[in-house]
Amino acid sequence: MKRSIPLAIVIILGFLFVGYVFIPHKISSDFYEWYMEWMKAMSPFGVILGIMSIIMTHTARIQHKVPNWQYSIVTLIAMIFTAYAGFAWGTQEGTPFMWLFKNVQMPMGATMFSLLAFYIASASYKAFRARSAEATVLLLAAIIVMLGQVPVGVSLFGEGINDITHWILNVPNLASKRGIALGVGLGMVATSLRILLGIERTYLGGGE
Amino acid sequence: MKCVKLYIFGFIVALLFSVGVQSNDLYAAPKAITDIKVIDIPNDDGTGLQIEWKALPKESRIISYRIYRGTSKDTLFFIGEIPINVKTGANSASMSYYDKDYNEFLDIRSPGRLKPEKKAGKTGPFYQKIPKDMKIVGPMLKDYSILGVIAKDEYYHKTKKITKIVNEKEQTYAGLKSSQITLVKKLIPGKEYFYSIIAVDEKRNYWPAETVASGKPIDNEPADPADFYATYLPETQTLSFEWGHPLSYDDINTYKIFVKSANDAAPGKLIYESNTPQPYASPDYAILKLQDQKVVKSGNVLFDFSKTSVDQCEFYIMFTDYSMLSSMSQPITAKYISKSDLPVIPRLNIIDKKNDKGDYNTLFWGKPVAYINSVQTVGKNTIQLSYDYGANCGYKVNQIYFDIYDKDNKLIKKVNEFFQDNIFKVKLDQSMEEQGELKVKIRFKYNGEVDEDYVIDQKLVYDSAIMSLRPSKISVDGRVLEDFNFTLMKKTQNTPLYRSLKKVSGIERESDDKVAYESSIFKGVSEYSLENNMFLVDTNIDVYWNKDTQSTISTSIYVSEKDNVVNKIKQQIAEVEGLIEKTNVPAEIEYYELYLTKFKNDLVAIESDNLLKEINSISNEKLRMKKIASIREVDKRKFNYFMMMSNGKGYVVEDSLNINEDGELDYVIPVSNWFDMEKLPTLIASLLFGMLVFVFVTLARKGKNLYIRPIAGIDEIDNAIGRATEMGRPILFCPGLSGIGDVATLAGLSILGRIAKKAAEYDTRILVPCRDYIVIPIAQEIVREAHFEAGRPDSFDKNNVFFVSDQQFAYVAGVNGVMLREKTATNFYMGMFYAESLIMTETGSTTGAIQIAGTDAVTQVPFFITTCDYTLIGEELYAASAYLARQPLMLGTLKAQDYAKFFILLFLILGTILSSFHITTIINIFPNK
Repeated sequence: MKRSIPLAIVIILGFLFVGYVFIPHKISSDFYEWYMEWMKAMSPFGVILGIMSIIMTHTARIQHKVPNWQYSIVTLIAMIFTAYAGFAWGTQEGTPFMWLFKNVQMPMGATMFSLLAFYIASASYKAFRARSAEATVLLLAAIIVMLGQVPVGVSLFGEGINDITHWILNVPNLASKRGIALGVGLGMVATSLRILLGIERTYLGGGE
Repeated sequence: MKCVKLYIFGFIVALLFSVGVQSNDLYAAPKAITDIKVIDIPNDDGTGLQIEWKALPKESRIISYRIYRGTSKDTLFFIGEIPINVKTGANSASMSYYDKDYNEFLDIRSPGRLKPEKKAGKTGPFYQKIPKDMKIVGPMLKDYSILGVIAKDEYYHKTKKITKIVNEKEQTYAGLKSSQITLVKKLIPGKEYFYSIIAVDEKRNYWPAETVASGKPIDNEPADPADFYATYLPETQTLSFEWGHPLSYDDINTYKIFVKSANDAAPGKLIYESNTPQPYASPDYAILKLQDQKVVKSGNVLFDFSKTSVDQCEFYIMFTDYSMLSSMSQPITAKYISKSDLPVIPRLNIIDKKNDKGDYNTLFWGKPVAYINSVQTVGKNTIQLSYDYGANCGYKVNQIYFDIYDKDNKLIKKVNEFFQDNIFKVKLDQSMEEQGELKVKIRFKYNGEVDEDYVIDQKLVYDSAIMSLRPSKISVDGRVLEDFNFTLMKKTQNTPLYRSLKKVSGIERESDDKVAYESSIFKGVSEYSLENNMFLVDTNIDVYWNKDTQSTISTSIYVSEKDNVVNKIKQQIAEVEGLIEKTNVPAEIEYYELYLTKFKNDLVAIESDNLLKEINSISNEKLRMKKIASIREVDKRKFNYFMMMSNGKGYVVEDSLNINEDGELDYVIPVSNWFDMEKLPTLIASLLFGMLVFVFVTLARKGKNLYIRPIAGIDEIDNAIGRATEMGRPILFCPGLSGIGDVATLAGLSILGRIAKKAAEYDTRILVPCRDYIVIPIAQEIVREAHFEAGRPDSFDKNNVFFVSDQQFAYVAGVNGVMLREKTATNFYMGMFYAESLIMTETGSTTGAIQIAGTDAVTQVPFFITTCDYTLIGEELYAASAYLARQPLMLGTLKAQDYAKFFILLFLILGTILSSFHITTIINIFPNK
């Protein structure tokens, strides 16, 4: 029962939504709108799962005094304080919650994002080391595309480099992207089919 | 340890500082608003007021102005808010709020009881929104013109029949609770309303204005008509008029056109009068066909142009509103035109829009058009021309031919756009500047045939400002298409008046008209019941338009009140007859008799209506209302369409009316479709794929050995888990950033099940940081089941599957922290990833972990390939679970996938070959999106 009821829900609703894609009728769209309203109503409750998970994980870490357990205290205090700030003063402009968002969360997020620039540089170094024939082709293609994107490339090698850049981006690059996209599309359909037909059940917990 | 304490100390200091900043008064104290003005909105129907005040300086750090309204100084309710950017301050020195039209009065967000704005003083006069408390809101109904918006099912089936004595007469109403109805309001002309403003600063302090201002909305005359044009076509003796919509057109009741001799001082004579299709916009034109130079209406000659010719006449237009206030245009003279000045109007066709839920009609007209919309340089003397084309249901465009000529009419290139990708290139002999001008002739092959007679001309002229060729307007037979617009109109059965639907450019060929399903019923609300705590609305509802009796048939929503409408009409007849008896004035008698005839006709119509008899024979309330709804909702969605073409200056051409086979106006209704034919190829492909799966699953079950190509990334999963076991370190599994609705996440979770089982067998800890709330319990259940299956339930710790954050980079920080602190030996990234992928995998790479990634995000694949040891690209992610399971059922789907790819490849090759020969059949089979 524990597995068959969720499985039945997945299969029935799955086929209903497949039907929705092909059936534009009012009954079908009304059903979809009705479902979406429920989705909107239910999704905020998911937040409770996240909060419970954070509290349980970090409480356990503090209780068992695992290494670096002090960070868990910081996490819990930050979570409680932010929630309190939001409930007590609201979330509008000028409230402590908004101040925290603008002056703590946003800069921290931006800091993490800015790291990407350095990681891209190091990843490029790894990718462009001409250790094999394929890597050499990659390196050459990258150099041409980079030169084609900047004025110095055109002044050094003329308009031709622009055409080669466009060709690289629009032909081999786009072809491989579309190849992957085709495979992804089929893979999605196949996985969806496996789930709909009840062949794939691992996501319900347990294997076969 | 010291370092950790320092972190905690630093964090607490930061928090305290944040609160400290809030409490510090870093800026000048705001000042309350002192000068509020309430001004009547000009040229409206007397339901609009403008509230104006001086904006506070930027230094006041105001974040919003809250507006309050009431019918007395003592009680003002919140009605709206204007947010202000605290950094820049208000955009102008003077702030305005317009309290006009129907807008919010009471809805689901309204408070249950009277709530003062505590920050502005607990004793008033400022209160939050008007509360749902009937004791407060009920008496307020008389102060406004209130309209109730009721969900149709609530009105049909969930009202309570309430009887109330109003004006000494017992009246039956439909009662609705505040949760069943949304109220919107309009101000009442001549009534005094009070307004005040509260300025809210950055610290959420409320600064009430020092004054409460008041004003009365006044019903004014309409704005003076502008853009009034007249033309005269002597060949057909046609006078045409065109004018611009006034600003508050919803107050206009009639348009009247007068004519007089230019030398005559006497008032003009009325030659045209039309009502407006309230509450919709009226078409802004009129055409008068003269008979022997005379304007004739119902046999009466309204004006004789043979005595005073059109060129010696002046014309005026008058707008009159519902209060009989009017405004007149300046006199104009008619411009003489010839037939050749007018375009040829194409025929308007109307069909139900295909493949929809039945809420659109498609309107289409004319032959297709194509035009160049931009020119770009893409190489030395090579230009890329982008074009657009407009086709419609009547013409299926097969090919578009572009013939490019130079300014000396020498052919440069012929282009056949057999597949319309909206772009083609032309190599010129010289630069665009030297070329100066290009001429383009555009022809079509549509519905399988080339139309040689239909040629579109366009010029591309060099513009030194943009240093490129600028496309000019397009023309057919010398007539510029863009100079004229199409005005689409429609009308329901119960009115002779067409409403203006939309104005579209002369190069458009198709337009959809939304015919929404009825979802709400609109009823005026002026009564309430305190004991039932309900708003009271009328119980009568229109059922349908009876074309035989030319009247609207209506009835009560309650069976017991089914004779209500008849009784009401009888009462009206008695009242009018009484009025006729009392007066001796012939004009008044004539006026009352018009009404008497109308009421008597209505009475006969309702009493003899068979459909109404059928409805009223149903005794079950619910079934009766269902029957009414089924008739009413179809009837209300029937429309007749009409089209005219004009240049906005009186050059007007009308299409003929859309008539059915019986010679009556053709009313169309959109139909709800059961299958989207555009998705037929998708369905066929899905079914074929399903069949392939079935075949290969059957083969696999029969024991046929299905070869699946080895995927290195999946083969290495066992080794990666083994490595973590040997090192005694945990495994990290990231299920991606998407939610459970993403197939990539489901695929990732399926792989998690296999990995968790193996890890449990080896007694290796697996950490699963999640970004989505819903994914957490599912991942926990998967890992728990895996431990049970492996016979190691004791080693399962559900805190190892945990939530980090739903913020992208906070999640990355959390995961990176886990990698660094836990020294994970193996990292799996399976699912959907965005910009965070590289940050995570680079960190994993620096910790020396073996990393296996799988994603369908094409943009992230290069990053994974660069930084991970193995990467499952695209479809391999979806194949991984089946690959690991090695079950016939699973392998069957993989094999089917490979064959499907083969068929796609086949179609690609076939399509490429055929399209090389200009055969686009294969391409056109597949949907565009």
